[in-house]
Amino acid sequence: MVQTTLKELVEQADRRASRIIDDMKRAGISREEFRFDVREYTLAKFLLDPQEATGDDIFELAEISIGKLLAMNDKSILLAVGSSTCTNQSSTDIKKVLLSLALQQGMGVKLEPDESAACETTQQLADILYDRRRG
Amino acid sequence: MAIKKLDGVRLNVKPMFIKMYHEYAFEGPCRFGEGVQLTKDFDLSIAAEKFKSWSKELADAMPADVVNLMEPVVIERDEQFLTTDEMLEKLAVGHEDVDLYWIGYASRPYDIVLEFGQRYHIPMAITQACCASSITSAEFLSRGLEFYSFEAWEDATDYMGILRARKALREAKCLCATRMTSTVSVSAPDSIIDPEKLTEKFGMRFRYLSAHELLDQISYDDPMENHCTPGRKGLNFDENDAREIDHLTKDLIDGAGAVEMEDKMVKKSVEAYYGINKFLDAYECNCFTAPCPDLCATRRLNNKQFTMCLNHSLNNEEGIPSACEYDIGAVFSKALLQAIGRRPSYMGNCFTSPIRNGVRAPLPKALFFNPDSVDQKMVDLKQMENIVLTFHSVPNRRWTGFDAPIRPYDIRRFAHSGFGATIRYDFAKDAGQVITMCRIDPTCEKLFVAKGTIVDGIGFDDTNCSEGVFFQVKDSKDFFKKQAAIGNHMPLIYGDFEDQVIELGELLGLQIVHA
Repeated sequence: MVQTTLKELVEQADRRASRIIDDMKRAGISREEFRFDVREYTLAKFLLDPQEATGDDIFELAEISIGKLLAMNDKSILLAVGSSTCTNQSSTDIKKVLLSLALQQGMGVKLEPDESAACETTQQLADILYDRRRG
Repeated sequence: MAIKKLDGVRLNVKPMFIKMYHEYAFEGPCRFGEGVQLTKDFDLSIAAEKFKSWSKELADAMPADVVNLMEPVVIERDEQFLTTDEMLEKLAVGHEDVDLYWIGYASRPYDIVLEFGQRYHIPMAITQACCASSITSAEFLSRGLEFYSFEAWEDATDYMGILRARKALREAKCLCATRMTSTVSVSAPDSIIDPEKLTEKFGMRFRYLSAHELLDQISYDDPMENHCTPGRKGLNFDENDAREIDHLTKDLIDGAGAVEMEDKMVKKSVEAYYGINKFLDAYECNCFTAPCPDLCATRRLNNKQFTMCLNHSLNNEEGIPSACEYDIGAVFSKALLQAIGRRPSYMGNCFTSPIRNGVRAPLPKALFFNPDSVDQKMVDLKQMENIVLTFHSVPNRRWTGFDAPIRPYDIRRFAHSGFGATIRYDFAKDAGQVITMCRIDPTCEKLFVAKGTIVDGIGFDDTNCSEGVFFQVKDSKDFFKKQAAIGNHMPLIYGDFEDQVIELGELLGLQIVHA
């Protein structure tokens, strides 16, 4: 059996995330469907399968993701989980910010940094994006 | 009454957060990444996340009964590191009320917080996060600015109690009822030589009051007809006061185990307590002391049929440091202990009970003690070494907090003729309890600190100033030698607070004399 590299996993996840964004842009999408999509998008970006994470807390999902990546790091990509701006920022913060910015970009929505920081769950993030998108 | 008690003092801590962002996307020696990670949006989002998590950590580390956590002030600046007056002015809004600024940051706050510190001279703190704590603390401390760096949030929490206690001492204002001098007490000349040093060094203030005016007005007589202040309305008791005094007296008597004195004599001591508290309120004071032998000599205490003992006990229980014998050093030391331990303090004459050649030096029988009780204690203490006795009939009824449950107590007279209510507390029941004690020296340069373990009590069943506690210390000979340059009355509290008292003493610039 051929082992999937981390690089290949990331590429698969990006394709999956792109499809989810398309669904999120669908006219008539309900709030519940949108919430489901944001969580699925988060799992995709964090390279997690649904059975690997049951919760909704973004930091917890990020922790699980980092643990998984560290366990399977095959050097095929940079993990990019360290500080990149000398702010002594945690890896989970960075993952959360990248997730939020990607969703904002994908949806064509702009959140204030404090608004994004206030979201602790994928549902909270989904709701603010959903309302902003409609508004 | 609305006496501003020291336990109500809170340390005003203001969070100060410095955000930084890059206006342009580029890499360099302190900036690296790719794509979105080089954008201003990313920087500000990261800063927002950090501010949120840091704010929560700070809030969790600041106990509400110690710290008043103020609204944070946040500023942003770009990678040019420009500090503008507008930024400094924003940081400084309301600084008059701030006791401590807590620095949080998203990238390199050093220059701006230093300039702020140099302009406003308010203590600042940081909790370790990578290298910023040592950079910031060194730049402040080397310039003589007060700064605190904590390795972990738990350490910060602990130290807030020390800083709150220092602030409490600054808020202490002692009502000193004088008779002969306003400085050196007749019976406690080992107390503070110059009270103004306490003001200069620690911020403690004083209000002086003629003891005769005080005694005049502990009375139901016409407030316009007091001997010392004829024609000036005094604080004499009115009908409401009379009702409250009756109520307090009844509660005190009903709550006691044994009451071995007449109710009307208990009431006279309650009147003293109540009258003194009226003066504390009127003079906006939260600590008290009055002379003992020198006031005794006027015969007015005999005439009015009370002593100050009950007043001291009840004051201390209520969070008002209150010391016998016009011992201002004891007032300060009690305030210090009460601020650290957040509980009532006790004080008394303090001396060691040495054993030499297998024989314990006789405990004194004269003056205060019941000789039979002393003989019994000589037997009870056996060959136990390193024993110290602290005695005065001013024990508390609660020991572990100002709102702790009242423990069993009796009431007995001070004077053989029947006046002078004193609380009697059986310290022997608390054998094994660790206690912490301290006393400032007469020059306000040294702080004696020790701890001990209660082994017995004395005077519970007796009268006069015989109530006391025996405790075991590490080395009584060392205790004796070190106490020699400090003084007699030794305030103490229940519990092991030795480390905190030493930390506070060091913060106050005192030389610690640790026995």
